[in-house]
Amino acid sequence: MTQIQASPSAVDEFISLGPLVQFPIGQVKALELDGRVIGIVRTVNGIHALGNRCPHQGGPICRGIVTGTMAPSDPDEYVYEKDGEVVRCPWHGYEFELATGRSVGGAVRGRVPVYTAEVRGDEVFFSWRRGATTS
Amino acid sequence: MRTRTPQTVPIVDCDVHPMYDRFEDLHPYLPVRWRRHFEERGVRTYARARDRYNHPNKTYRVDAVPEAGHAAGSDREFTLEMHMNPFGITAALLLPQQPYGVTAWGDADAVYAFLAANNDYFRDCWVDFDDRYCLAITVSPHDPLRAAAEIRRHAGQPGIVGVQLLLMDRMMGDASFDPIYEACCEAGLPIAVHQSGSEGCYYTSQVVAGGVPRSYGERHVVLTQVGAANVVDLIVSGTFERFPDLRVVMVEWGFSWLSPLTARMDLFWERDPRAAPLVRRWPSEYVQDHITLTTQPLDEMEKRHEWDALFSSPGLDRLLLFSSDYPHYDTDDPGLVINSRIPEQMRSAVCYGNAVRTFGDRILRAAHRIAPERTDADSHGEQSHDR
Amino acid sequence: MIVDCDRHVAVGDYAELFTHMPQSWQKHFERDEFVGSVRDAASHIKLTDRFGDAVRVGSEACAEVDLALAVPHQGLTINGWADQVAAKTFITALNSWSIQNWEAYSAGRSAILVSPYDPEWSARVITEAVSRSDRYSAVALPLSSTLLGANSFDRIYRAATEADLPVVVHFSGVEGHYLGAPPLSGGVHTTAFARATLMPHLAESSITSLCFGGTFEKFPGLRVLFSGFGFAWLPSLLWRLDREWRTFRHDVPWVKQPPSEYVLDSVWLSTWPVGEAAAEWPSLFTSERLRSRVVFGSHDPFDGDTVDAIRDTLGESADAVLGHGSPVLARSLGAVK
Repeated sequence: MTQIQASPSAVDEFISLGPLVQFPIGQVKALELDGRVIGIVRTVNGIHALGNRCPHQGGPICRGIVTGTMAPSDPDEYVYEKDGEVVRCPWHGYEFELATGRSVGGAVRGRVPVYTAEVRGDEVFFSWRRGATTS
Repeated sequence: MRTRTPQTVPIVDCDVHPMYDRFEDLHPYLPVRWRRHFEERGVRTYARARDRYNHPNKTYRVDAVPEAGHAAGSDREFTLEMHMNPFGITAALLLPQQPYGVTAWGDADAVYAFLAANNDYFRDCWVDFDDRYCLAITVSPHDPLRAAAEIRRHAGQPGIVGVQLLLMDRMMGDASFDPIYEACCEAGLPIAVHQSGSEGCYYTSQVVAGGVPRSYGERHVVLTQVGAANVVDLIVSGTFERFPDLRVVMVEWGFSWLSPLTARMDLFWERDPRAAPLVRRWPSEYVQDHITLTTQPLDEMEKRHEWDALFSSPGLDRLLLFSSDYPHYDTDDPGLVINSRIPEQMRSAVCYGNAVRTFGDRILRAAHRIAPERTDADSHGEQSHDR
Repeated sequence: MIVDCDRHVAVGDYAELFTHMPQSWQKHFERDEFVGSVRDAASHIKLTDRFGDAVRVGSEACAEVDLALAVPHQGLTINGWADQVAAKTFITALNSWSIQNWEAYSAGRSAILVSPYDPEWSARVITEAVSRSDRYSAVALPLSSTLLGANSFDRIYRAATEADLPVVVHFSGVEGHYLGAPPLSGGVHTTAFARATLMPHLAESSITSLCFGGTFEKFPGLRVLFSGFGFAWLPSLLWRLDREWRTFRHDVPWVKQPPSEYVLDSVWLSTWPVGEAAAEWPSLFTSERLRSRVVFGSHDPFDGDTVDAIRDTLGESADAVLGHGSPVLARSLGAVK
């Protein structure tokens, strides 16, 4: 796992995590910031930053897979959506939206922690500020 | 950085699934003709019909893969490092899962060659590697007399603590299993029964009630029924009357169904004892005296009172054995379960006391040299991955 | 109010059914072995002739209650028959017999027997039955080895819902015993004691199938009563239902909420044998929603529970449970004496 020597010291402070090319689309890239693991996920539409804890039993979300999901549908139909916008916990397979950390379909209480990642030029920047992401 | 403090309670994890990495690992334990046989015919090591019930995700925890190209659970050092050490697990009951595939095999000779090789491999390469690893050797119902011989071959060996009995269509109370139970009682080894995956797949399997569940998840809801059915069958068939020393461990069948089931049996037996003439005392007493059940997968309830009610079931404190099911997908995190779910007054019993009563002191053969350390995370009841 | 949702009626002699079928079918059924099997069909509900007292057939079963739902249980045993064409004639005759039989008892209501092997026919039976009489309060659907969440049952559920009738599911006793009838869990159980013990699993599997099949999404007004299976196992099932849904939601995306919600809205269970729930009732059935699932069902005349037995086990909540059947059998309430 890549270790980043610096960690933002204030919630709104951003630090560079490196060039955008080091963050392939559709994967969780885990990084260690001063002993804490975060996951950066680049999607077609943006970039997200996750904490490493599933609200279910504490599973390492940053080892999860990036996928889409099936929307609530009529019986016996599948409607695939949100391709690349969902992370699935590597333990029990619970699904969470990358943008908000919320459980898909309200299946489980609690959220995956979501922080702030931004692309500035061709670099990825990160801050511990909770919540929304930008593209 | 974690700090570590001495663990106060030994922990026995009664469901850990090791695997051999490549079939060639078994070669030293197979006669040449069987090596050739399996090379030519192939080896089916999974029991579930994957074209009938295919798992929608992965059957294993993704973080349990030791390194690229190797199977989850195949690295004995990785298992110690990522599962046993962080939680201070003093002993793991190894239940090898590749043998489960034989429940779909028809060739009894091939079955016993394969099982013997598995038993020898895990004894040599895991049990002898670290005394925290304890093994239940695997036998199958294809030929109970050969199974009994295999049990006797391993009886008394260090680290051999139980017998993993695979099930096909015959339930556990069937008299054909008597040679196996006799050998187990002679050796002081309990039987451990785990789902093989074959349930509900073949004519040679046991089934869930009512029909064919449509999906993997639907089947998984009701899979516990097969465990319940076998508990009933053991009691109604008089197995514990024939084998008063027999102990049975029901692994990964759940346990929240047990109290209504034994209440029902007691009620029916009281009304008409002659309807079950081989039952000589309260059915619930047979459960208390002969059966233990593992905790994983632990039911998940919304409300505190439901947890309290579940764990206040009379006698449950003597029946439960902690288990993780490492490295499967529906694992229970040991830190969460032990520190936040198991009531404090039951903790010692569930963590090791009931295991010692079931398997004997041999299950704690590593205890004399280990003072397992307790992390700060334990005291908060959470597991932290990234402190 | 006392509503008994689990009573049984039966003919003492199959000859009583002959006037309720066309003459040529009568001649088909009028054979020694079939006529002689009348007590077999009745005793299956007891599961063994060593299990309790001899069967009392007849229709005195609505004494002491405000409303009684009676299932002609001999008709449930078609799930062990080989001839499903003859089975339809048989249950048609039973339906005709039972409604005439109940005419004199204003507190009595009958269940319309249908066939799980011909849902289209069954839907017509339901529609015609309710147009002829208001004394039907449920549709009795024998279990087959197709689980209840299968699409093939949609016609039955639609007809039942349109008629505002619950579907009542009760074991026939041949499950796990007769070849072709639904299996019980595990393998072959050779004792009736073991089969009786494991009967509730049929309800568990059926409920799971209904939830995971999306039946309650398709038919939000459907009411399903599982009668004769007890209820103490329900909390355990609900926990497992919800846990598996959380993991596998994307595999069954038509299940739009935790499956326990469907059960708490649309499924009921009868009390017999109430004694087995002595521990679970006070400790786990603590919410009104969960308690409201449990309806009084005596299982009369088969070694069942009296009203006093309900009061002994359920204590203060007994009176409420004794009346819980009324929203299940909603259609009947206007006609209660």
